[in-house]
Amino acid sequence: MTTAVQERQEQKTYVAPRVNIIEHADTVTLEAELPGVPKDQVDVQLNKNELTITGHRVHNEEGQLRASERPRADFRRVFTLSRAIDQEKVDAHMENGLLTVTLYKTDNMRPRKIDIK
Amino acid sequence: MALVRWNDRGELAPWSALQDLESQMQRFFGDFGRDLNWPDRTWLPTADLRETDDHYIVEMDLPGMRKEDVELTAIDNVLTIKGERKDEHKDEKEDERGYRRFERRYGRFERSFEIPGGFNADNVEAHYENGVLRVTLPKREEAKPKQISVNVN
Repeated sequence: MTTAVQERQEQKTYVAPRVNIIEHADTVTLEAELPGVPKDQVDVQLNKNELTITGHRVHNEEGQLRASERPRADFRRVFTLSRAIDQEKVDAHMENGLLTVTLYKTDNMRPRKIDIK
Repeated sequence: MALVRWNDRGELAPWSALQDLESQMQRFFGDFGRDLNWPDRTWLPTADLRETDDHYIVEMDLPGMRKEDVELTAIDNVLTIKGERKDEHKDEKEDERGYRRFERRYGRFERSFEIPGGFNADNVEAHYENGVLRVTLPKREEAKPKQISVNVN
């Protein structure tokens, strides 16, 4: 029997990068450690309220590996954003294997000072 | 010197390494990754050792560091990598009631690697790129594999 839709089984293994998440008054900063991932191998996707970070690690394959602690797998981690985050706007910056993602709070979630008249 | 060879686990299972890193190190590194002196350990960057005919190569994951904060020393057969990752958030103005998660490690680290057969300390090259430190250690002449041709009459 054939089915109309077939699913391809993909058993790809990932490791979750270590992250820091810090909330500021207007923004939320997310830092992810992606050692060995060049800038052009980082993928940051914002899909509705899901932020997905994927990084392909490029390994040196010279000679023989004699001892290994560093994971061979690629990095991937998915975050669910609250409604307080602007789902359209996101900045990303990659430097020295550290990805910094800046998320913006929606206007009505920013603390606003109200003057007393 | 017992350098335990990495047995090929091509499809590496999810590497939940950091919790049992020490036992992993014992298994894979033997004496190679032994920490010679570690009074106040804070974090332990992961490293690989590769070998070619002419070189040993140590690669260490050090994401988000400044080159100036890494120091390399070579004494006899031992390469020591140490440094400090500074917490750049210390003086930052945060939303005090805001959400915070800290998984990244900061502070000092130090690791020493004993290189089998030693290396030529005058020609060590180190390069930091994409958050990985790569140290190339030329083998000493006597440690290189030699091909001896034998004339058969």
